[in-house]
Amino acid sequence: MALLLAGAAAAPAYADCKGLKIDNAWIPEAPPVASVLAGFASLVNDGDQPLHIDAVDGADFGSVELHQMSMEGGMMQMRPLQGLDLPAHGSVALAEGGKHLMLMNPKHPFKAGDASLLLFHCGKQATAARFTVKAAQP
Amino acid sequence: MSNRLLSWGLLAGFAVLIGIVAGLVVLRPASVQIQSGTLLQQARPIADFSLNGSDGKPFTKADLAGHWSVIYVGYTHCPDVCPTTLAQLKAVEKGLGEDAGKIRFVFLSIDPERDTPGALGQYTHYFSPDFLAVTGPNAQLDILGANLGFVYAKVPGATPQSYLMDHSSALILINPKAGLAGYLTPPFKTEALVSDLKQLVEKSS
Repeated sequence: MALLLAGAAAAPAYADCKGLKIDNAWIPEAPPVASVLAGFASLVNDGDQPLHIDAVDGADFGSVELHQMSMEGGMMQMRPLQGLDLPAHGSVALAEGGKHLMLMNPKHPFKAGDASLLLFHCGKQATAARFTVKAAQP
Repeated sequence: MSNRLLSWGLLAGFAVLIGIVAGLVVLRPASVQIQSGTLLQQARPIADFSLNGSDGKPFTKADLAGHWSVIYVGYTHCPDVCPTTLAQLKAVEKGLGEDAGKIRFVFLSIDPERDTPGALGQYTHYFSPDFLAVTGPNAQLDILGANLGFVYAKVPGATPQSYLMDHSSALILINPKAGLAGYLTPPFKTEALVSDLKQLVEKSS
């Protein structure tokens, strides 16, 4: 019984987003005073059903937004995204110069080697991914 | 009658010739060619402006005189391209060696609402203690923008605090006479930037 309870307590609060795989998850190291950090990763949907990621959050950040960066006529532009769509057996790259996570109001400074757990929500399910902080490569 | 026509014709031909010569003089290619952007044929004067440096001192046109300046327009709530560009400028500064002392790198924030000079300075000095960080009231940023050819715009975000800024992405080159000399445009390559800036510095010394 005790074992069963311990097992239940350790179980994640959410069932995983079916088919979602999150790889190469990293955060470029930023100045300690930075009030926003970027998050990059490769998202793959291994499943037969399309996935919609409607939100991302993590205990280390006040809030997390999804952004699309683009260059229009010499202008650097950023736009908030309403979630991410992953077709069945499709993928989306969160990468420099494109889509990224905007990790806002970090609760403490991060330096290279640190890590942070982020949850990708798809409806009632969510998949956790460990993001490691690395020195940005110019 | 035909004599008169002939003299008009000669006069017209002469005028065209003068025009071509004048054009060649005015529009002659700049003596320095850069790989990473464009140099103006003639540097453009800049009107007076008054911003605030992160060091607590005013930052005015006088601060642009006497050395080359590279101005990068951005803001600290920009997680992707701004820190990447600042990290690249740090690599450029290192690559310039002794010539780095002849160029001032300026991070100009177009988000004075969130980037106070103090916080902006801390952010910028993480990349290099020699980088200057400046910002100022929108009216002054607009004057400088009109003179240097950069634009910026506030874009609503998911919450009132998480608004975004669109901004020009080019690095702005200012010559030692405080004139607008040209632009370096992305994608930036560290080695090309170093070689371009070395050329500019050496030409003007």
